[in-house]
Amino acid sequence: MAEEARTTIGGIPIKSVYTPDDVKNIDYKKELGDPGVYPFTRGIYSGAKGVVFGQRPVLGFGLPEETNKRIKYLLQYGMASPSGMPSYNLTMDMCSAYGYDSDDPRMAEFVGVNGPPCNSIRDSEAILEGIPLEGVYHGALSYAPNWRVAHYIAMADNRNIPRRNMAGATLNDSLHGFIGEGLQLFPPRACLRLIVDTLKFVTEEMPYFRACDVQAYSSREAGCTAAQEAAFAVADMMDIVQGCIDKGLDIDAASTHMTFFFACYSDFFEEVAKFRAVRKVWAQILRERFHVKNDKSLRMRIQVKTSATTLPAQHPQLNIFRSGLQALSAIFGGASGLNITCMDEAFSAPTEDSARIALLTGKVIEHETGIVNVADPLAGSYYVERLTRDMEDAIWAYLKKIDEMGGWIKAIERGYPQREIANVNIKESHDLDSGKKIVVGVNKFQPEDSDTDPIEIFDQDPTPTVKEMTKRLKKLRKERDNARVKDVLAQFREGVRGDGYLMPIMVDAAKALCTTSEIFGILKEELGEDHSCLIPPDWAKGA
Amino acid sequence: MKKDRKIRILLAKAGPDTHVRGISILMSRLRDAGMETIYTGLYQSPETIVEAAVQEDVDFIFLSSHLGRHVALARDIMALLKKKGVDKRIALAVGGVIPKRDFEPLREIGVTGAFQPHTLANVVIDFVNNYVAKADKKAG
Repeated sequence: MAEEARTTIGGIPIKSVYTPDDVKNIDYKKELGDPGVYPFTRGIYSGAKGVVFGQRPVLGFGLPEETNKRIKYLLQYGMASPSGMPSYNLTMDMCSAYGYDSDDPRMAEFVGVNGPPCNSIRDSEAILEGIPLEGVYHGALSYAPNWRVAHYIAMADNRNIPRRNMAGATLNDSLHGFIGEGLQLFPPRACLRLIVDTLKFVTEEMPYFRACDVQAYSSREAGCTAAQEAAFAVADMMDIVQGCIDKGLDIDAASTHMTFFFACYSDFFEEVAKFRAVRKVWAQILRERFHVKNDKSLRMRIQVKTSATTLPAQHPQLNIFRSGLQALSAIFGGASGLNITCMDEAFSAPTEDSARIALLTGKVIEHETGIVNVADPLAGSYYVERLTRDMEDAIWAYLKKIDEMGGWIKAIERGYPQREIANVNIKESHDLDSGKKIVVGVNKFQPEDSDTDPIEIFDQDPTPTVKEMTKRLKKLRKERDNARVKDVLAQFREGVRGDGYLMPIMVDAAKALCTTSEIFGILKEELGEDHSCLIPPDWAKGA
Repeated sequence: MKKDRKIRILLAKAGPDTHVRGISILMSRLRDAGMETIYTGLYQSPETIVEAAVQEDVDFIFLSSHLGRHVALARDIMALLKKKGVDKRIALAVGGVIPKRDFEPLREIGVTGAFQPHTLANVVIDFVNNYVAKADKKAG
């Protein structure tokens, strides 16, 4: 009987042994280069630095004060950016992320859920109470338009802190929401406009603020393969780069504000190969296609969150080990930022304990294993180098297809990546049913049936948060200068309508105590809404 | 349930919950298993979900929930089904990020099935077929 061909989880063919023959056509200088040297396959930092990575778990829940407490709790366990600055990675509650205030009855179930509410700059102040604005790397998982970033800028202005001293990062990529499990509010072209708007602002005024983090994580968690994740992320960013060029931005400067937010899955070496290959692809595209000259601008900064969807509810303690392995392959792949997912992901938002354990898992790797002493320690492995090359070929093949469709936005408009992802998901679903693919606890070695949860689970009840936030909103609307609010909102509407520069107006709006729904309400009215997401367009209505 | 036609299932998302991987897999697998599926799209409310269920004359509502608000949402959906007098005709099942501690409260509300992440598609298909067979038997 012929042995079935082996592949990585993502479907790249592999052999059981690799030899020098497999790498004889790989030119070290041209295809790998030393760490910190073009094409950055081996990493963006020079070898002297060894392995560099920051650790910023995603956090946020309940009232702004509760989130503030969680930030402080995790800061004492060493949450930090790659450069070693104290840091956090903040989500917003679903209500404010979608542009509603906490007192909107349609959102009553989602206030303070999976993030704190943020109706106005007052809430941003409360979230950061006692945490300095300068010297901290502020991570905000918020989307275009960057109302949250406008809050940071306004807070800095209010305290006479130079804008250029503010360091941090935000997602600001709403184009991936259409194919992932992220957020999407506006039609793709409007998203692009809003993304470029924020990039313009940070390029001109905030040199230490990364303002576009392609959210490949969301498409990966939606089901795509490693090669698809990498290719879709690059294709997405290519449209954004073109958008910046069309707006007259200096792309050498703007590209230093662009980062990539990837997931890390369970196929250990495939993930290592993905990170190594995609850095090279990106550097090559920026140099050859967009004529970026500065070496520093060609470096792909990778932030990794280990996968949540690979962490089942069965035997959840095993998830600490799964995440640890994924973190290890992200580090071997040269990720600059690491965010380890908590073991209780399949049950609820994380408890304080599970968040601490996730954060400290990275610290164990950092301090106890010696892995950080040497940059790109897997380089030269026949298998890793061959797989990196095969991964690169797979990424280029997808990029070619998307290019032929006219770019990323065109591809999502015709449902191409959505369909690719659906196909992967359906195949996996069959493979799990048939036992061709094994996940421990899911379709083999299942735990005994039980009516209780195997670990402590976090509880979020939005009711008290809604009540308190409603009270605060009432007070805010009474206390603020409502004539000024009206003025600045009129100015904002005019800016949105007339293709104006929005970030400076949003900063004014933040200072004037405008609320989230006031800003987003105008955007929704003027730009229209698009809620298509992941499901191939022709699937939605019966078949 | 009506024996002379395919089982019809409404796949529903409520509020700002965009986790649709599970629903997209079920959409395809349930269809392959001979059922008809209708997807509500995102940002629905209990009202629009129940309205769609009645309009589409479905046998099942599958609520997909990943933000932890499944008990409250299921309660509202069940109340609306009762109000419209269709709670005996349309069953409600819930899937997604659902801890075991919520299984009993969901049962009390009248939810017929609760599924955690990574539930195999075959398990869901068997659940629907068994439920329908039982309901048909009851109806004689």
